[in-house]
Formats: sequence, structure tokens, C-alpha cells
Amino acid sequence: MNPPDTFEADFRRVFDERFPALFRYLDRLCADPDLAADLAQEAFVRLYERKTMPLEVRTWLVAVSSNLLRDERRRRSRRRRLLLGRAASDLMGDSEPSPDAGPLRAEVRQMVRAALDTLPERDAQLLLLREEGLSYREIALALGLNEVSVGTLLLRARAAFQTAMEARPYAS
Amino acid sequence: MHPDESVLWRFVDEELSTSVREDVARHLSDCAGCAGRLEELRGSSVSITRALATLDHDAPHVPVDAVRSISRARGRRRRSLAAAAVLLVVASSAAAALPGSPLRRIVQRWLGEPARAPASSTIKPDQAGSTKAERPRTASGIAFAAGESVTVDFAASPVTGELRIRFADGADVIATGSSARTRYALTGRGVTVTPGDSGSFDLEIPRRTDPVRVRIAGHVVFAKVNGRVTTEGTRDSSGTLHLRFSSHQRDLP
Ligand SMILES: [Zn+2]
Repeated sequence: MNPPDTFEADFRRVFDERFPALFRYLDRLCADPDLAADLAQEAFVRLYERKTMPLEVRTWLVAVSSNLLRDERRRRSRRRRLLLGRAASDLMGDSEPSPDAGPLRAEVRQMVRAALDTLPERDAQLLLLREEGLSYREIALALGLNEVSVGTLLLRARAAFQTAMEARPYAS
Repeated sequence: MHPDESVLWRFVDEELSTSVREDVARHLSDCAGCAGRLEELRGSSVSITRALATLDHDAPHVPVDAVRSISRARGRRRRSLAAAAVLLVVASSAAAALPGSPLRRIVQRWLGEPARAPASSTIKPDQAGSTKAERPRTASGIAFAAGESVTVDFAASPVTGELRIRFADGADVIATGSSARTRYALTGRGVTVTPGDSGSFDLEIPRRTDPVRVRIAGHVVFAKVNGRVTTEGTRDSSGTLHLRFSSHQRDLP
């Protein structure tokens, strides 16, 4: 049990450190920055309501937001409306990719998106979580996998992603 | 023996135990084939990182306090639902009428119940996320997460009374009234207030919400569009706008 003031301080630190990375992961995964922002925010609301820090806060946040994403997709199959009344566009300006967004970059981006979308969701998650620097053990925890299998699954996911990229003109 | 690809990936990912890592490193220094393969994997790793980075958008600026206030609002709502079962019927019908957003539905909450306790003990400034020095007697109310824009409709004009509008840093629109007979129904754009009685009403609106419209019996009495405020109300020293209700509401130009 953390005393409340310790939790408040920890929460602020974790929020500052982890919110952008969680948003990035979710945005890459679901290709919807508004939804990613909502999910990341909601995961932190859940963390705050918990009143204590989980031992593995990074994997906890990934696991919670993955569940939220799954729930949201289920909901969306019934209804098109977004999660939050406040659209993230109000928080984030526009939805163009951040640095030096040019026409070439936009094409590359489409290519990468299409390649990533050929992967089964779990493979995409493996790839993206590794990009966020999670260890095999943390990835296993976050996705509910056996740690021993992460190496093999990740290898296949990387190979599949690269094959999908190479199948397109921007492979270089 | 040459390490297989998964071992080489573990080497790149720094996922090998120290002893195995040393064995692999020793082999790599003697085997040009495996060393070359390792470089290919490192190259793959870098190109995957670069490719994925093209997907990124700027992270939104979500203040940590927004997260805290949403969480607190939910806690408040749980407490108030437990305390004021009589309001549940209205609250749940309002929630059912709400299109779309589960978050709005969760955040909306009811404030106060005058028959049991004076409002001052029900809503403390810290709980309400508000620094208002003196909140007037509150008998009814609703709060909900603000959208980009909000429209507050008073279905009818009370014969006498006052409407106060203030802007706050919070994320919620909070509408409260001095009469317990007042009813609030969330709409897609905001809230419709059916006054029921004369009395005073308070509206707290997040500063960043824009546009904002407040109408009384169909007449716009307050508008904020692109930061520009038009109103027939008067502003006091604290920045709160005061509007007198009357039976002759005029539309703004
Ligand atoms: Zn070798």
C-alpha cells in the first residue's frame, strides 16, 4: 500500500513518462489517433482509480488499453460513434503525421500501414511492443503469452512485416 | 555450432543470459557468416523502427489533472448514486438518452439533495474541482464531460431569478440549480434544463470549450464563438456573468 501522497507523485511521474509512449503504441496499432488518445487517457484513469501502482505498470497499461480497444471495437461494430465526446482533434491540432509531412512521406506511411495491417493483431502487438522497448518477459505479461514463445513469435512477426513491406515498391 | 536466427535476434534484443551471450559473441568473432547474418538482423531492426515511425502523430496534450478529474467525477457519481437513490430514475433515463459516448455517460453525475443535507456539505469546492469561494445553495444539477462545443437550453424562462455563467479549468460542464424540481436531460449537443421553478442557476463551463451557446426559451442569451463572447449579461469582478431571467428574453444580434 502506498500512502496517498506517494501515489499522487508516482502517478504524475508515470503519466509524464508513459502517456506519450502508450499513445504512440495504440495509435500505431489502431490507426486512429482520436481513439488512441481516448484509450490511453482511459487507461490512466483506470490506473488512477486503482490508487496503488501495479508492480509492472508498463505492461499493466498495455494490457488494460488492449482490453479497452477490444471492447471499443466490439461496440463500434454496433455503433459508429467515438469513445469520447471531446474529439482528440481538439487536443492535437490535425491528424497529419507529425514531422516533415510531405507527399512522399504520406505514401510511405500508407505503405507501412498496409504492411502492418496484413499482420494478425497479435503479431502487430508483438512488433509494436518490442519497438516500445518492452522485454520479452514484459511482452509476454502484457499479451498473456508464454514468455518462452515470445522470441519465436516476434521473429515471425518481423519476417512477415518485412515481407509485406518488400512486396511493395517502397521496400528500399 | 552456428546459432539459429532466433538466438541471433535474442542477441540483437539483448535477451540472452550473460553466459549464452558470451558464447554467441565468441562464435561471432570466428564466423563471418553468422557475423554477417547478425548485421542483417540489426539492419532489419533499424528499418522496422524507421518504417513504424512514419505512422506516428503528435501525442495529444492531455493534462494529468484531466485524468484526475475524470476519475474523481466517477467516484463522486458512485457516492451520490448510493446516497440519492431517488435521483436514479431521472439519471438513468438521461443516460439512456445520451447518444454515443460511454465516457460521458460515466462522468455525468448528480449533485446534491437538499432534503437531507444542505448543499454546502454535499459539494465541497475541492470535490467539485472548482475554486469558487461560495457556491449558492444547490438543489439539483448535472455534470458531464464537455464536448468540443456545448449548447445549454433552458426549456422555459423562470419568472424570476438569475443565471450565472463562469468558466473554469475543469473538463466538465456543471449545471446546478436552486430548485429540486429542475430537471436536466443530456442531449447530443449539451443539456436541456427544464427549470420547473424560479430560482438561481449556475453554469460552469470548461474554458477551452468553444463554441458555447446558452438559450432561454429558444433565445440565445450567451454565445462564445472562436473565443468571442456575446451576451446581454453583466460581468462581476470575479469574471462570472450574471443574467437576469425575465419573461421577455431577447435574441442577441
Ligand atoms: Zn556461424
